Amino acid sequence: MVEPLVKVADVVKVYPDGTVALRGVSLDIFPNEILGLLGENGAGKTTLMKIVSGLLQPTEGKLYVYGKPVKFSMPAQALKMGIGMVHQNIPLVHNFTGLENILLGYKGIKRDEALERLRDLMSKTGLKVRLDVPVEDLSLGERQRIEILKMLFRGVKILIMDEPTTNLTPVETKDLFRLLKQLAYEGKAVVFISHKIKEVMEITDRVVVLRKGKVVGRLKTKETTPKELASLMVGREVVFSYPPKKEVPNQKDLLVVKDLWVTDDLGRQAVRGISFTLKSGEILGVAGVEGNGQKELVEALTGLRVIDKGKVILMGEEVTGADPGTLSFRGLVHIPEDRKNVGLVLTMSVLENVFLGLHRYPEFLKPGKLINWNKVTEHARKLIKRFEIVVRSLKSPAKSLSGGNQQKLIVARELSKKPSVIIAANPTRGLDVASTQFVRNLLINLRNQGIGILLISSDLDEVLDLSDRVAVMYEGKFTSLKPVKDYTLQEIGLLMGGVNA
Amino acid sequence: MSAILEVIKDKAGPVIDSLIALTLGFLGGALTIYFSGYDVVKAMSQLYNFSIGNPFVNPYSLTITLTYAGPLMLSGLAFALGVRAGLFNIGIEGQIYMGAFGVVIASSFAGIPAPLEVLAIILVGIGFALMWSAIPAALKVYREVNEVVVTIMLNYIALGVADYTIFKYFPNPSDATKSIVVPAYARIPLLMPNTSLSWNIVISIGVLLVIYYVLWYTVPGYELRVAGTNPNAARYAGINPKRAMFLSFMLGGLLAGIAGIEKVAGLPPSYSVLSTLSNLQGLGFEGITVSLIGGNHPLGIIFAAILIGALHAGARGLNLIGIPKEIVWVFQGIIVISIAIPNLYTLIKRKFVSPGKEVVGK
Amino acid sequence: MTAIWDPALDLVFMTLRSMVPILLASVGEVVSERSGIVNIGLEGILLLGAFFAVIADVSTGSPWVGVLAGASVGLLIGLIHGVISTKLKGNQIVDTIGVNTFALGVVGFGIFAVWHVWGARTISANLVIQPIYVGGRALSPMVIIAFGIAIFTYWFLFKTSFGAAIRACGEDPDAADVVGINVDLVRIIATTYGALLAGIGGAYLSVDWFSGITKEISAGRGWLSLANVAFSNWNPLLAIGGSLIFAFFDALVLWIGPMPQVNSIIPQEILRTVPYIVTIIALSGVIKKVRPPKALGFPYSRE
Ligand SMILES: Nc1ncnc2c1ncn2[C@@H]1O[C@H](COP(=O)(O)OP(=O)(O)OP(=O)(O)O)[C@@H](O)[C@H]1O
Ligand SMILES: [Mg+2]
Repeated sequence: MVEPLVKVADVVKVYPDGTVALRGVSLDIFPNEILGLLGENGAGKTTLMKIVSGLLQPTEGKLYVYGKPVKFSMPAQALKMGIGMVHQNIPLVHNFTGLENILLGYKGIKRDEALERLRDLMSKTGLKVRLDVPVEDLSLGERQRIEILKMLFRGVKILIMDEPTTNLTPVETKDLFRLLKQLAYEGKAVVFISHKIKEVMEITDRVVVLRKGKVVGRLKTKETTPKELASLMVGREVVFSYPPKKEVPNQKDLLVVKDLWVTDDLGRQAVRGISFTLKSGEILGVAGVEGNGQKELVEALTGLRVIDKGKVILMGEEVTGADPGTLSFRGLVHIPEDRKNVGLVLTMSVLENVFLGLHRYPEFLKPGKLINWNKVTEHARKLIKRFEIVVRSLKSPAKSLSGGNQQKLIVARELSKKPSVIIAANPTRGLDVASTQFVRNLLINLRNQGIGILLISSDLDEVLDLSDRVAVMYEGKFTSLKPVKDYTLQEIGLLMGGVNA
Repeated sequence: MSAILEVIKDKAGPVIDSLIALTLGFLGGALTIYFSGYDVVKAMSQLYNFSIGNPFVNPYSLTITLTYAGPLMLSGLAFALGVRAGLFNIGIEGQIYMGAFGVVIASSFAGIPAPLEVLAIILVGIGFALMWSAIPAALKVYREVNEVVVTIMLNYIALGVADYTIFKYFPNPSDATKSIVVPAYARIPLLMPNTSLSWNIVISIGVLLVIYYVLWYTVPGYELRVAGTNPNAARYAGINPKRAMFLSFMLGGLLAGIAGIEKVAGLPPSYSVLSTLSNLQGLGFEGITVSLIGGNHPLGIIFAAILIGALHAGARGLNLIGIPKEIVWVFQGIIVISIAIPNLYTLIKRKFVSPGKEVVGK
Repeated sequence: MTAIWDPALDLVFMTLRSMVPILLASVGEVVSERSGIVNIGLEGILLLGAFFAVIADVSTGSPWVGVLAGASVGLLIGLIHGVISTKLKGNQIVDTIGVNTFALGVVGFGIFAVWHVWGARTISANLVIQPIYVGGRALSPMVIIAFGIAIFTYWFLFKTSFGAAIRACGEDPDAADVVGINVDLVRIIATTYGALLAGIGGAYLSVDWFSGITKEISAGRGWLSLANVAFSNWNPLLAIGGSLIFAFFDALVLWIGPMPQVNSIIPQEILRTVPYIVTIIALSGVIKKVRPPKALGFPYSRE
């Protein structure tokens, strides 16, 4: 049997904030092979490979390279041993040229010699890049090729690619695949991280499937099917029990979105012509792998991002481009995905956080823009009681609350605006089981009271358990939208992976 | 009761950090005095006697301390308002020059009825300061120009413009080292006769309490604090962070204007601007120290300003025994450098109290 | 002929003389800021450098030891500032505001404490760096040294791998970290180098240009240097040009000092403000686009 180049043994990773990302993962990486690492958002793929490439240290477990145990404290050490990782957001110095980036931190070579070797490498691998242009002027595909060149130039034996196709055009993807195959053929090991089942099927020799920090499958690609991979990836576990969903009579159209187009921070079309209608008394779930435009969709609908094209109609009135304050007055509230940076001001008191957004509501004010803190206090007490939020005191900073209680605080506050529409983005991410249950139950109860809820979540269980209808979002579009009962699990898995079932 | 204790616990960290910084500052200052061959015990007692002394027997020293403290509170608060809105507004110094410049101009109207003269001093003084703070505000909000360098540059421009114009067009006919004086009937009255303590201190504390009220009890103040602490949360809550920044700059300008008025119209014996603006220089910069010691909080700033005021008052006593008064800057410098280091207390505890228990990683 | 040229040449030489501290401090600050660390304590470092240079000069009799002393003071402050800004994750602006205040204190206090004179301590001509003569005019060797340092700094910042590492730390510390560059260490070195140059600039003020020390000797030159960094778009070579422009105004003020007719038309107080106004305009992006290093002012941590 061939010796593995890298052996990962029982690795556990706990982040400083207490998140357990890996719960005992073992893995071998062999030469002459492309290993696929498949898993949902948050499964721990990136964390695992950051450990292999020296960017993170494992909390427990061991790492062997060429049979010897190693402890990396920085990526440079891994690079020296031939392990290189091409990250999702490629870390190149943006105003350096390709050549400068490749030579950064590389000692003992003359520029001309380096250029010659690089030309050689480029012709051998077919990686064509412009070396003398600042990388900020290059396409994302070209930047990625520079990063790969940088690794090969340093003689890596193990090349880890973290979701490399996300920003590539189809042609570029094809070229990349050809290259990866060639590298494996030449004796290198390639690790290919992806959620895209189709790509994993196409290019890998072996697949390891991760779920919630554990390995749930090790397969030979030739011996598996997309369907098997999909069910492994999304396989269901913990079963929650929920309040029954009631029939809601006289459903009205609350939120109508027509042909919505939105650009992301890098100027790319992230949302590309989405249309849907949200009715009263329903939860419309949006499933999908993160990075397919969900964030931009949420931001556009909640007034945090410019809408390029399309219409948003809230209860019969057009609100396209309205700001968050106006939207909440009109009955649309937002439970943001990023509690700590958006939903709360962590260093301010619980009381002041309860007031956030409510500071426009006359019932909490006195004439002359004065704040009626007595009213706010009374209100905060009521919310804390009703939602069983555990706080030491109203004056404690919000950061002293646990994650679950922070989320309850946000939900409670937003609900006190008496909304008709709630846009909830990953509302239970990072919460413990009890808080998750609480928030989910609440969403169902609200739906039963006739509120319309748009639930965007990368947790498939959540979407399937709560939604009446489900849309799958892929590359900025809803590739499917129908009642939840009309889907099979496998079908959703395939749709999320970009395979049209 | 326990809730109060919890609150104290939450706020204790920063307060302890401030206290450590103060200790280091005094320690460093005392060591400097000692190693320069002076009698450090004598120096410290001079420092005390000339800033506080025995106020029940003779409050004079204390009045000097409070005289210094008045304008310092305002310049400290002006800087603090910037911090609260997420800004480093170092331009208070220049805005004070402009405010004082405005007061000098208004003084040239002498002869108009008293109420009008007072009104003119207030309006022109504050107006000039506001004009000066509007420049970095606009550059920050509309062109996203970093406020630190711009405000520093504006301080120097203000110095040149005010110094030149005042002494070219409003020189004191009987004393070449100062500008025309504020007419006697339009000055801020003395609080205690035969001292330099005027109503300045009352005005300053009043203004501080008002701003405190604005920040914590009104919607614009709340918006300013949210925007400065977390612009993302602000946007999410429908607050425009840029508007909050603009407001902060303008309130800062307002306070600088009042400080300029206090310095010129409320400070005997000169009631004027001295050449090269020497009686104004440093006030804005010291406001930074005051604000940082006071935790950028209006109430903390009252104490910090009195402390720095006491240092200045005490420095007169040092001067008498041959120790240059500039030594107070040594104290202040060390204090500010120490405050720049976050979690000073935790750091010291870890390094010195339990050196064996060095935390590995982060 | 000479009668016309003489005053003009005077102005040229005065400009060169004024240029030295601004050029040294701004070239140093370019390096520091390119690594991601801002130091607004230049004014204070100039002052301290000038002060300790005189002490060393007077006690050893050699102005060059004075320069060394100035450099050492800069080095020490740079080191402290570097550690506070990296390892301790401190606020880079606050601590250097403290440096300025501290310097005002030490120098104001120290001049009297050390020499028992108020305000100013002059040194005798033999303790001043001896000029070289160019066309009969005195020129400080420090002018040539300052040019040399600027060119050398440009070379190492843009043509060596260590320079690339510095720039990478200021633009994208993540990218630097991944290829094995110790971000904190590089930043500390760059900051120390920067402050060291400012310290030399300070020494020049006292043991060369002004033959002595006053507590106002820096006279805003540190702030001008800070402005010049942005004005020259964080480039040591352009900083030479910027320093010359700023120094020209500085010299112009001195030059027209003894000419009351000129002074009444263009007052020197206003003339002094021109460099500051120009800087604001430059920063506002009206003339050209300047771009600060992307990671300037932020401590780096991996997780
Ligand atoms: N720096 C961090 N601090 C705390 N938790 C983190 C950190 N980085 C990741 N996590 C958490 O660790 C878990 C695993 O994350 P990881 O990024 O490894 O997943 P992934 O499989 O790469 O997901 P994706 O497909 O979204 O890239 C997630 O729950 C994530 O929220
Ligand atoms: Mg990942």
